[in-house]
Amino acid sequence: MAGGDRPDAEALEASAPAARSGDDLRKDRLLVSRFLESRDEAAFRDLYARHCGALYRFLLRLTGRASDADEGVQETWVRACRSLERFAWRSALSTWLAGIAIRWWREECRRRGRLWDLEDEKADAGVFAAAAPPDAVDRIDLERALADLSLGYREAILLHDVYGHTHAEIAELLEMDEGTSKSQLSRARRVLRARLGGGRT
Amino acid sequence: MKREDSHPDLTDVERRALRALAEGPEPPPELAAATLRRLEESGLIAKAGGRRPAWRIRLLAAAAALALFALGLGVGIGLRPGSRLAPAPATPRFALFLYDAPDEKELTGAQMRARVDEYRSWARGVRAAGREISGEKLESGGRVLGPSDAAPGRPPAGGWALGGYFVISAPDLEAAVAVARSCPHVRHGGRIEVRAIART
Repeated sequence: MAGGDRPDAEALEASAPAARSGDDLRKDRLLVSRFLESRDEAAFRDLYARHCGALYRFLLRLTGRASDADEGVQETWVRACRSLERFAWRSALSTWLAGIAIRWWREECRRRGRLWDLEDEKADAGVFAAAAPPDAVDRIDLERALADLSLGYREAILLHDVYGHTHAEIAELLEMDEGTSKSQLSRARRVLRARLGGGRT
Repeated sequence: MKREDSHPDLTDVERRALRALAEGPEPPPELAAATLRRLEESGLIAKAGGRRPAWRIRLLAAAAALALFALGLGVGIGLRPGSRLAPAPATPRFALFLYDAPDEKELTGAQMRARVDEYRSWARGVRAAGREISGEKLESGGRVLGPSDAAPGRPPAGGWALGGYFVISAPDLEAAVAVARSCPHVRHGGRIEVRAIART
């Protein structure tokens, strides 16, 4: 993202990984229908090549570990290929894949007894005073703060602020209404900002 | 699909920093082969018959190398659970048993919630430092079994009740003890027994 101090809002939007053109959608539909017809490896490889980078990085941020991201990529594709025929294109393919990845990781957290990840930080929302936005954000600090959020908040930030999915998409994905998605995001942002500023009171 | 352009809460600095997180490492090249293998095993992809494209041969070679690698490791030290890609040497795990003092007074509901929050935030810190950690609080009471119901065994900790446990990853006992020492439980008058989990 080169340019001046204030990035052009439109350029920023276009740079969002989830930003899609009609061409992207047509290409995805074509690749999916080819794969469903043949179920062969070449067709799968085209789909994989197109989406795997973003999916892998999403899982890396979601789980915090490369080995979990590896496992998550495989599991997401297995589940996706099982239900691809029923995919109704109400969202972008990338959004749908992210949803599968999230559901997989929630199951894993439950299975592994990572209860801290699953609990929402209802308490935190009250504990943190409204913190002033930071003047500068260090990437390492941000990564750490994001990794330390509870899973629900991390999902909200990742889906909306990092990957640019809309509240409508997130609501559909996580089976919640849009209002819940919005309030979840604003709580998550408040906690994240407080952590970045060290604003625990 | 209309894009949302309103981020009322975020400053440009924050927005840019968050968007930049979408950039990052590429997936490891061998992940494609591992994924294809999983799909084949699950019957979700037709096994290619006859003519094989060159990339497939390369993938098969990679998969075969990976399988041999996994076999080598698997025989020696056991496969790491939870990853089907490249089994890494298993990280030692330790159980932390949290005992409550015999004279520990009953906590009110609010005190208990505060205590659980404190432990949870400690556990998050441990995880943020790169260790695996899981654990649960135990309800009091329960039963202690012996050879027969008439002769129940004695609780092993003589008055110290087991209140919960954590399982953590650590390179060795000393490192595990250091983690346990940082747990708020000790500060609250409890004791923690640190035991290596046997590798079977």
